[in-house]
Amino acid sequence: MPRLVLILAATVLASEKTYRLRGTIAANDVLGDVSELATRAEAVVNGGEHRAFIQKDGSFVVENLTLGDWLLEVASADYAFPKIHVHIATSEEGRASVAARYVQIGTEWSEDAPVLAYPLKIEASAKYDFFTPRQGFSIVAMFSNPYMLMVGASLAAIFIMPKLQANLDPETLKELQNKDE
Amino acid sequence: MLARLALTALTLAACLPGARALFPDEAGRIDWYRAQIGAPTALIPHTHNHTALLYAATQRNVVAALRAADGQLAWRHVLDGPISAFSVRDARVLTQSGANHSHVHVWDAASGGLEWSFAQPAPGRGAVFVRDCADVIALAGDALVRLAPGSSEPAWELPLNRTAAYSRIVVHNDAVFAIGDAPQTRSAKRRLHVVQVDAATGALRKQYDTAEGIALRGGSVVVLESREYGAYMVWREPENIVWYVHRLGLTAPMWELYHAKLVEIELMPPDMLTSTIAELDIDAGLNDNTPRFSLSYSKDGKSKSVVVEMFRDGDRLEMRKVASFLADGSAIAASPRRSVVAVRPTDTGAAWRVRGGDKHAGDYTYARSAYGPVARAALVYVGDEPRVVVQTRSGQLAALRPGSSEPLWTRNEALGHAADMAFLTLPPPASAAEHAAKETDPSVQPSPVARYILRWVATGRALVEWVAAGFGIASGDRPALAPTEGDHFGFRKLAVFGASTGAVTAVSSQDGAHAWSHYLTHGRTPVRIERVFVTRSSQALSTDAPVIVAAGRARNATVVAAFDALTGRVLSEDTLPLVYARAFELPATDPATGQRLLGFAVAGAEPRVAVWPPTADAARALCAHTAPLYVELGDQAGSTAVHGYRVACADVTEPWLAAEPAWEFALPAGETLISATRYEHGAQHTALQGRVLGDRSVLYKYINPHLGVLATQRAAGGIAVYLIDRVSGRLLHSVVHEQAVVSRAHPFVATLSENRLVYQFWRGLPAGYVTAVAELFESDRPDTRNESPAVSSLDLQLPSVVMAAFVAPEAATALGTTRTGSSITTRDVLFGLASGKLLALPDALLDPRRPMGAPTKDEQAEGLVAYAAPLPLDPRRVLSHGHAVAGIAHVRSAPTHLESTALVAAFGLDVFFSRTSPSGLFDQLSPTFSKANLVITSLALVAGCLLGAPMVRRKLTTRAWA
Repeated sequence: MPRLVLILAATVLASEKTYRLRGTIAANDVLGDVSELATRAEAVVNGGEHRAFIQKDGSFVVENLTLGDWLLEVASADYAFPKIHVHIATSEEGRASVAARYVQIGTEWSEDAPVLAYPLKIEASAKYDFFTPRQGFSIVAMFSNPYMLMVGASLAAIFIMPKLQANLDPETLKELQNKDE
Repeated sequence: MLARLALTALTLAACLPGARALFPDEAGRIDWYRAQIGAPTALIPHTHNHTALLYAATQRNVVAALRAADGQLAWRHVLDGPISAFSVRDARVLTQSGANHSHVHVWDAASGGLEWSFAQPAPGRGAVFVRDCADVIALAGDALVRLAPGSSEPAWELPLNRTAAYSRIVVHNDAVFAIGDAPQTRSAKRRLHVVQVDAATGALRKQYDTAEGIALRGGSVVVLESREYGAYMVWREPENIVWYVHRLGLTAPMWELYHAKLVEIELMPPDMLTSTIAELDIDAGLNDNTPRFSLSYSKDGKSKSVVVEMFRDGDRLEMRKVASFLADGSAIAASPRRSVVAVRPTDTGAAWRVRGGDKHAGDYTYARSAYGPVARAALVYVGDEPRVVVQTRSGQLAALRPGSSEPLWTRNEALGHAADMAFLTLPPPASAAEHAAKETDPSVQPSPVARYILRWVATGRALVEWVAAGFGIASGDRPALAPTEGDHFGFRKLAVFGASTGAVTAVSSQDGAHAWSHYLTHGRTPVRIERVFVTRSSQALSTDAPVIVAAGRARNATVVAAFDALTGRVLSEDTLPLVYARAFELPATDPATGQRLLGFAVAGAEPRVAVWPPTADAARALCAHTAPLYVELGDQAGSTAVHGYRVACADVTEPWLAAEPAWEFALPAGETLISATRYEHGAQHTALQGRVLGDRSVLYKYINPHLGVLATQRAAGGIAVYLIDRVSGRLLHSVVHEQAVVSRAHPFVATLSENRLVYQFWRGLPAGYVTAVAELFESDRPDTRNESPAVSSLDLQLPSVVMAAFVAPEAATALGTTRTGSSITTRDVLFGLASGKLLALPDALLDPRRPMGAPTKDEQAEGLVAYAAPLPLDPRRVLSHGHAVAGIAHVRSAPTHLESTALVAAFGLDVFFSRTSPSGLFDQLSPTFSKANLVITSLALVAGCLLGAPMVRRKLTTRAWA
């Protein structure tokens, strides 16, 4: 797969060159209004080594990244976002490039996964559903209740058994009664 | 691979016990959440779209907007370090923050959304808006830069070459001034250094020294910015009664004004020499043209303040008095209008006056012992009505209005500084019958028999009322429960917080209702409270009140205060002349008060344990305790060795006991301690001595209440975790994680409960955060246990340790474990996540015995599920649901009277309380239990009986006649 090479903004420090990582959270069916993330989410790199607030339009800039591998996450109280492995490297001409791929935690990162376009465009994968809906009234549930089964059995004994007895041949009935005795 | 992961997740979901997720109607009913901002360091009023807002920068690195009408948060951001600049202008808020580096952020003032930001690789020293445009001038480290929105590079950058410690920037027209304290040398006195820079190009125009003998933060200089008149500095030299007014950038002459009676106040030289000045328009946006400052002085033994504003009369610069106030301990603040407010302490709380434009006055009645004296004030207008916001030293914010001494709203921001919290179980509430009886005869004792009879009487009365009311809802005269009144299930406890601001705050764990507060000081210094203990719990039928003790540091002393937990009354306050290394509960009670003794271990050449209450009798009571007492020192971060001491009990005549060296646990060369973990109170309790395996054999748990966990940073890289016995100092187990990284951004967090240690650390990429679990057994062979008749730390067998590591879903800032009354219920591990979630993961998920492959029949019988490295972030196990609980530093749990249910609390900045049932509500009716079904079934049974009875009777009669 061709490796997407893009120029990153670079900041020269006395000791080490640092880079900015840019991205945007895009609206989708899950998250229609990205401005609601502005005060409820952050872009987090390497679990908290670097953080960036998200702007009203969903864009963010993570500062001070050095060459190497980084894990980009969007920490939100309400939405789940995919995790992204970001590899920052320099080409032979000394130009910086970024290769970003979706990853799953707990797995080896494969270079076979497709490279994402840069600047990154991230979409929410799900809205967290924290609650279990209460079960409403259900006639099936009511009749599957042990109490109701007991009642059903009792009623059957009261109403149906005499009818069964009535349908029995008198001789058979007598036989049965004799057996009981 | 993804399919395999999904399959694993599905298998897990199917095998694990069903999560007891919240029902939507339970949110906010069984839990409560309070978003905090911490004690403000600056309050700036502003109005947007007719909504009056109060912008705050706080000691907890928070920038926030509060609605002046109700005190609710409009928006909030927790920044990455101390806030070095804070300003509001043209519907934008500017902050500069950071510790080793700095970020300039510009926020939309109404929504709190980020407009743009810029990072600088040095600590921030100041930032200001450029007037009439959205640009910002910022100073970080030694670099002065001009930043423009939308540009990733500064418009210009000027290194200032460390000529002074710059901490103030002023922009006026086309000039930028950086003002700082010039370095003091033997030949050069203290003075200020000013650099003038071209605002458009960043070219250095001029630099000079001025204001000899003056430091920027000495209370003797103010910087006044006026759009029309220019930027000025006003100061009074030490030992001189003359005021100098210097226009920034103008060095010939150096002073535009030079006068002894500059502020229309004639003072005798001694009074003038002790006066101080302070800027009132802390943000230049508050007053664009006639900047104000206050002069505080003492005259005829009375402290006074005058507010002075600068203006120009033709060519002459003038200062005029706007208002004057009695000022002993006052806080003065300016508003965007001409008005200023002064709040001064009184015997009943505080009195406030608004002058300079409007004239208003009022009182704020509050107990200073509860919240401390006034620290800061703000004046904000809701429509045309003033709201005076008073901040006390403990961190309480209260909004006042004319005509009422009761606050419109309050915010207890001391909770945002909480360092410790203790749960106190409250006595159950008096029944409705007792309430009724006490109303008529207060002498009725709540004996069980009396309660039983009275309950029936009251129930009968309630039944009659119900019938009389036409089967409607009986009115009932039972009062609502007070925060200090418990319930029958133990859900209502008192949560007592100790804060670093000196505040002790008791709230109800059920709903956060405020019970009482106290402001603890040593002289005038607030006590930095670090620990809160319950030294006497609630006893049924006892007249002794439960006691809460708060302990903390103040200068070189330790302050220990005991409170009646139900009323907040101070029972005792002791100042111990020592600096403790560790405060802990002792296994004995004070014979005089019946309270549990506390120990304060003091390190040094002669280590000792000070006993509280500080009496020799208390120390002797401890010595009467049969087991010898051991204490370890040196278990703080950065240490290279932990030392154990045995407390000596010979000839006790003082309230302290000498500690004799017993053992030393020296860390291997190159290792330093990063964290020490021990059991939280009661976390070692267990109901089951062993784990029953699938083949009905038993693996016995290794339960050692003296277990200690030390985590160290290795010079060679990675971390080491040591399990030691805290009585003998013996190493029980150790493990090295070579790829682990622990830093400020990646904290090591751990929780110890029963025979299980859970800890989390950063392992680099691609693993991310790893949650390691160690489970301790007496032996690795089933049905084998330590047969020693006496269990002693000095004669210990080494545990058999089973470990497993999992990939954590997110970064955790604190761990905890649920606790229930008898420890029968399985325990959930509570993860306080950096993203603000409080996640409860079940015991079974973190079981280190989970098999790597498909579980065998025995393993299935044991309840084990196949190992999968990732721990899922199941939103139905997020106790905090949609709340983003910021800054979780502590996760605590307390049992209730129901074995199934545990209370949980997360705090640090925000506060969140809830309750959870790790094994489901096995001792309560299921939440889905249908009472309607039960009623219908019962009615059906009765109907069946009624219908069937005549038929049966008829049949019997027929049979009898046959």
